Amino acid sequence: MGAIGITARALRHRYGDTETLAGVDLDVPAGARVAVVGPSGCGKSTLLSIVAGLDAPAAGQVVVGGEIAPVERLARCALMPQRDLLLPWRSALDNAGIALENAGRPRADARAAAMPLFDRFGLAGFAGAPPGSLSGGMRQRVAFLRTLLAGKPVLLLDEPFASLDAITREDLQDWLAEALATEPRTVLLVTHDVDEALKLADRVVVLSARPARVVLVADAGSAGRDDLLGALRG
Amino acid sequence: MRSRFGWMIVLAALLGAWELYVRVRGIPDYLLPAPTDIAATLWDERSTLADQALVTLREMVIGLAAAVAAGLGSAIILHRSDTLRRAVYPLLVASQSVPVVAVAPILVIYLGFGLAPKVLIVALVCFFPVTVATLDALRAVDPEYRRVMRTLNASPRRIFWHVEMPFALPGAFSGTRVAASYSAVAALFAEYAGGSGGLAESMRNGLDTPLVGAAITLLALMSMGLFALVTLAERLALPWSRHRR
Repeated sequence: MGAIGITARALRHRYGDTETLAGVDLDVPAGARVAVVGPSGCGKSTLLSIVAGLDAPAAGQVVVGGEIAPVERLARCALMPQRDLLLPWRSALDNAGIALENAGRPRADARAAAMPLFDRFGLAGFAGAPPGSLSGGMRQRVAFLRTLLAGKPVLLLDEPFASLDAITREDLQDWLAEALATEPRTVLLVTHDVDEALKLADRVVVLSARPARVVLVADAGSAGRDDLLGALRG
Repeated sequence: MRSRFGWMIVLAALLGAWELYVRVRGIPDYLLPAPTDIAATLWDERSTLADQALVTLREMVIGLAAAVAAGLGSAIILHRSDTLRRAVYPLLVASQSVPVVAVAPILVIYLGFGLAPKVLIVALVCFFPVTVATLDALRAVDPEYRRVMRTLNASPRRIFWHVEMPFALPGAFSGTRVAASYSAVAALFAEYAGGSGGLAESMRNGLDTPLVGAAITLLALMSMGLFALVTLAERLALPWSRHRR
């Protein structure tokens, strides 16, 4: 799977009478990890939906790996939602492998593909567990592996750890950084947490409050936490 | 455990009070038979009552099965077509105000005195709760699942059968449970409308109140049994569903 990039130009979006995105530009180079930071409700999740081809922008253009058509973008992006949205009747392992089954592969294949990831990323003992018996942190890990196993070159992570307590969240951030180091993908991460953005991404884009525009783009290596927080507060 | 068997104590207390009332006040049994009179009749008339109960049970089970099949089918169709749902759903709700007692004799005229009109009447009564509960459950599925599943290679058909439908099954079972408890009374209506050999036979002679009481007891037991059977089927089929409540 070759790495592909994302480009968005002058994206506008309205939700009813509310303007959510007021001309947003975004560049995610192939294989890069970009975090979009912004205040709650500024339209960050909408941005991900538009990139994935799930929602249409009112104006502007999105290109994912050279493709403009929503269907083609959808074929290249896997979304990890804020809530894990695991299916309660499937085991953790079968949840993780569902994208393979969705694509028509037999369940045995899906399990064979998911099992090594469970072993590698600390879920070995939980393969057969129903999601209802897992902790929030474990469920998010399963949800992330499910996104990874979709086999898409682009991962869209929508506040993946927002629903977790602080300690679990830090654990998971380390875990995710490690997982992404061994399973590289082009990642677009949305969060309201500057520290999370600095930890996981190599570039940070700060959005303003609604209607959102880009107020700062900085490399994670050079950007100061205070600069980002300052930009976030406007 | 205590709460699980609490109903037995309540039932025993009610029966005890009833018995005491009839005995102490000397109420004649054509006005109100004592529970022990009903029990005695149940035993004395056991072979007749058993035959009649089987006839009624058959109407209930076949009617309920037909209602579940038709209810699931209509819920799926109405869920998948907004236009159809808007056109048909209000009529479906309105149809529930048509009293089955009034319709039953007409169906007997159309379909004769055999099993068919009884099954149809039971199915008509049981169809509605199954359809509504299933349709509501389908519509209640968090739309976020659909969006995520689309990015996980799932076709709309696959999303329906592997995400929405499983999520709706607990609702379908609830509807079926309600329908199961309606089925007894529906079967009885049907039997009253056109001769049957079912339990209605024992209820026709309103003066033999112990026999009526015995028939009612059997009907209640069958209704509860069917209800319990549906509950058991749900637990076996959807072990994940109890987890979440």
